Amino acid sequence: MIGVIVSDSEKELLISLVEKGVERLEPSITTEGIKYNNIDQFENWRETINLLNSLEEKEYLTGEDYDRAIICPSCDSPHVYSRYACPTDRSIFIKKITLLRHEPDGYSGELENFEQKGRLVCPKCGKDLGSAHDKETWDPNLKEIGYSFECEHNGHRFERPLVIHYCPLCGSTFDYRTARYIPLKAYTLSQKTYDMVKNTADTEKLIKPIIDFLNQNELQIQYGFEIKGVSGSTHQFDLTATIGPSLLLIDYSFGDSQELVALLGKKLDIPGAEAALVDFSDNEELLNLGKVYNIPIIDTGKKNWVNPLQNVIEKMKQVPVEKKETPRRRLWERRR
Amino acid sequence: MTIEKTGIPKNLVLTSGSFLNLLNTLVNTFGSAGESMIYQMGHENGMVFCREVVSKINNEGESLENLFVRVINSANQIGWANMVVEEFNPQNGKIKVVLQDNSFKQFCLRLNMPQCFFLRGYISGIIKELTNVDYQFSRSECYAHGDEHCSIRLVAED
Repeated sequence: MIGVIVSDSEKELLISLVEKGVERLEPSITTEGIKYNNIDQFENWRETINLLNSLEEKEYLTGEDYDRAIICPSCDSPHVYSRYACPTDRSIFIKKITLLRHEPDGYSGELENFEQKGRLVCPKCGKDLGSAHDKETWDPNLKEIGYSFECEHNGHRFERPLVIHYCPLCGSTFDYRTARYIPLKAYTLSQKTYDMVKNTADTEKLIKPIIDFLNQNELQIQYGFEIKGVSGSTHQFDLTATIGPSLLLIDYSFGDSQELVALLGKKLDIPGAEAALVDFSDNEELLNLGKVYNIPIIDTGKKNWVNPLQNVIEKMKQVPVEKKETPRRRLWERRR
Repeated sequence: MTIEKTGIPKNLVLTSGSFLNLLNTLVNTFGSAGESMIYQMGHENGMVFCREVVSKINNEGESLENLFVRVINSANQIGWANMVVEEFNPQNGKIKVVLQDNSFKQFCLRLNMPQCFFLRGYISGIIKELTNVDYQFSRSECYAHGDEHCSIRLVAED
């Protein structure tokens, strides 16, 4: 393909990022979805991600692995909590039990056996071993030797609880089997973006007289137009102008005759449409080729640049001549 | 001793892979315009082929549908696919051709996109030659899209 064309929304985003001086985009998981700094989010966060992925594919952004998100399988929200649950009845009402040992006398037991009025006291020798709520104050001879979990519903004890995810948005609970676990990328703007933004600014300046002329002639302008041709192929154009049912297809060229051939190919697929190539390179060869292909070349650097455009517009403004009724069964009827 | 051949050979042998390379070069060079060019080539070829076939057969009293089917059947000899007319309704401007044993199936699957721009144009060229009505591609079933069959639907242009 000839280059990779960015859509209007993609171009808009890149321009706004460069204008804001943003060089890097990092994701964060919020109650509204995955958000990226400095981006006006779409209503659906997936659209933002699709947009960024598309720009990465087109090499306007460089993506790097940054984080992972658990996605609710019911409502697609990434804002989920995780809870521990009993492997027997999946109840989340379980408690963690810490096992301690007082090494000098060898007493081992659950932390709550040591607790006395907010302090830890060895049940065997009676020595105060520090605050029950501040591990930093513990006696060095008091060691944590393990832990387990206990279900408050059925009393069952186990070492490894189930990890259950809970989505506060839709209220569903799910585990790793049904959860979606997606990679989140951080993106950095590539040199291609800076080049594109600069070219866009330059192009807008160069194209302005043409836009003004089309507007004066009451044509409706659309940038980055996409249309399906009779072949079923979808074509993109830098600019289109319409008046009534007439359509003018415009592409920009920086002197590459390939652009002209491509425009001819696309025009063939859209019967009835007019086409013009805006050339920014002052290429005489293109002017001659344009005559051969019957596609006017618009070069605002030339003295009478409006003439070819005016001719096309006049053609578009003409009331379409009713097609003569053509015999529908040409070969067939001729032979009857 | 080499004998220099004069005149234009009736047939040229081109593998389907080479043919597809030609088409892909157009698409790689001109993007969507390349697809359109391939379609136009197919369209012109279809018209010429149809003209040749019709000129050779006695089609007196033949319905338009039968004539279309005969041309399509003749086109099967070229080896693209076994083309079967499934719907032919010029009054409504709808045509559907199913392509069985499509030579391009593996290419569609490998490239993960339809490779039938030439055939779309070819069929639209045949119907254009028969009816003088422009038909455009409407939609297709394609192996590349996970469909079990390959078919091309055309509709008459407004």
